[in-house]
Amino acid sequence: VELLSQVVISGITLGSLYALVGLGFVVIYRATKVVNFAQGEMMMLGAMLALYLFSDLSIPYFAAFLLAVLGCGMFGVVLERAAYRKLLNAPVVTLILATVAVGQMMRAGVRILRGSEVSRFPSILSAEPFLIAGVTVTPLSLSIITIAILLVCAFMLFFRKTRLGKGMEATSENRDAALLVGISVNQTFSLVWAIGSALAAAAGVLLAPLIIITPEMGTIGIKGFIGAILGGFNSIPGAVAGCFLLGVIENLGGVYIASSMKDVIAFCVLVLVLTIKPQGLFGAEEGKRA
Amino acid sequence: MTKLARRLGFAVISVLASVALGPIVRAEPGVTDTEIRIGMWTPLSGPVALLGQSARDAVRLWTKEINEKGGIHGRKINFIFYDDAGSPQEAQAAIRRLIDQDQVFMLISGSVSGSTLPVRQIVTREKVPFVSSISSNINLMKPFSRYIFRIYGNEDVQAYNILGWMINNEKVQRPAIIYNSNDYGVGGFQIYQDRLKTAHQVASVAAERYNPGDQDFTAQVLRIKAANPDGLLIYAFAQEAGIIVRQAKELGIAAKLFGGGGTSTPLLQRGAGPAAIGFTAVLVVPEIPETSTNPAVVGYRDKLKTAFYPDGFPPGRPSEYDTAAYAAAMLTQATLEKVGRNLTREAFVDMLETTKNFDTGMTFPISYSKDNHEGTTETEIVKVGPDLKWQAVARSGGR
Repeated sequence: VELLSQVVISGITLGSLYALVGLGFVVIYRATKVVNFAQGEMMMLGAMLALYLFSDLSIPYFAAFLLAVLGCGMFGVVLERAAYRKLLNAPVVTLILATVAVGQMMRAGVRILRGSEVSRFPSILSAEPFLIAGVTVTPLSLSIITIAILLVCAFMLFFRKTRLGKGMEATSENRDAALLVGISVNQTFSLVWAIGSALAAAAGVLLAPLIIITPEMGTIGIKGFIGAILGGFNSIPGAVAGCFLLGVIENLGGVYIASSMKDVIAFCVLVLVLTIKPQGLFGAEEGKRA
Repeated sequence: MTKLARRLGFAVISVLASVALGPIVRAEPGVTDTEIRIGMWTPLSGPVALLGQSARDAVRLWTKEINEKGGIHGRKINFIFYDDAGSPQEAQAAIRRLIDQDQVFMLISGSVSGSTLPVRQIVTREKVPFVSSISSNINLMKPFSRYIFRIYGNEDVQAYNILGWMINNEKVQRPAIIYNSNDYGVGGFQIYQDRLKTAHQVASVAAERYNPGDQDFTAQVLRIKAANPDGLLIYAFAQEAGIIVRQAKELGIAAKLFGGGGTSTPLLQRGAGPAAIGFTAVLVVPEIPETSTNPAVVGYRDKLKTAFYPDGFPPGRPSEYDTAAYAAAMLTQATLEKVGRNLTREAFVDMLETTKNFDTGMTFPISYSKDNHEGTTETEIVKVGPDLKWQAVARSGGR
């Protein structure tokens, strides 16, 4: 039982990070129908930026966190204006490929600027483990779970309750109708990319002390995508739940079946779910629009 | 008529002369009256650039010193190097260029295993002597090649020695292993399995593998924790090992931690932080290049600094790839001096094979023979101290 709860707790820690990245995927997808494959790289950029601000410029942790997230959000807007808006009327595949290209450029850019050096984010909270009911946890992982869940909730409330958020929802439902009722679609798109990028950056900064910072660390971001698909790509709560689930499944499969197979197991579950319920576990069926 | 006859006569004589004298006057590739061309392909960019930059700087420094002294037997060294970015394809291209276009006499140092193994066939076929100082893959010598020589202990030797240290010196009774599923990790795992059974009579309590590029090892670490080992061998590259060490501590593993040759670099502490303290690993050279007080290493550090880094070394430098490449260059120099003015590739290889206990202080003493081109079976055991720096603990292994 101890092992089981340990496995679940560690899975949730992972899952909370997947959820942040996954949420970013979904936010952008719902509004623009684009799967942004540069999310992982944005995550990496967030971590790099925070590391630079925190270690090199000695800015306090929370300020560095905020600045990195804001910076990446702004960078997301710039990307949308410079690269994606011009492609708005191109086939969605073109746009998706553009995000792949942007991701590669970001990775290469960081490698040129910083080299392929490995760095570790000095964690502000202690990683000294302690026991709760036989389960080993660290203040670090607990705080990651808490912050991630808080952020996810905050954004979900934002979409449900605020005017801006509702405008974004409306745009994702029907672009033309939203325009007709006076929502600026361009502004909404900028906002969508800003939020998506900021979420990825937040995940990156939180993840940084758990792994190590390299230009390649973004590859873990793809797990957020898989989690979101698992839960339902068109539903925000569904995607978030899917990401948590993915983290737990990976760990369960890894511990109780075979550790080197944990990715395979996660993918098998994904394929199985999609065969039975193509819209994802918690996804709503997408109505065909006339 | 007589003119024509004379001309014909000349032609005949010169043809005969060139046939008869051909083998003697035919120029050896890469050797002229005034220079010897030495080539290197190595990663100078990309994720493993540190290794190649170390090797290149070392040989460049040596070249400068030799040439300032007037060369070897009147011939200056012309050192030619290309960047392969650690990619097998670019390594192939670079090798072709070095051998066909630049016509180098010999190759030095080489690249990471992934970019050295694919070119070993060309090197052997073209009969170019190659003194290797980066790759420790056992397949570099399989099948045996007359032209390839290695400067430090191979992967087998590294695994033997760290395992011996773990069981004999640290008295580990319940060993466990976590390893990368690539050639390097699986090779280490096989030796772990074999040696535990045949040499140490101790049973492994857990063996977990992960895939290259993995960034989270929670599942593996939890399974290992459940098996309750008292020693864990991490057969991984330093980046991953850094995360594994940290996660092992965070998830409450109390076992002593050990690492193969891939982990004994400063990258480990950068990934693991304070969790790395006490981590014990195997190192292929006897001295830790950054901190050693051995006169040979200190001398190298000082010369390197004045020559290329007056404002201070980049992170991770000088590395063991610095000192190993410099030792390879010194071995080359000693051999060239012994061969003398009549320099051929075959004569160079013959002379290299007579090397006995060549000791620079920067690597372990190197010996070769007609059928053994592995320079040494010795390695160093190193440990991360409380100041997060590597410390030398003991020599282990031997012929």
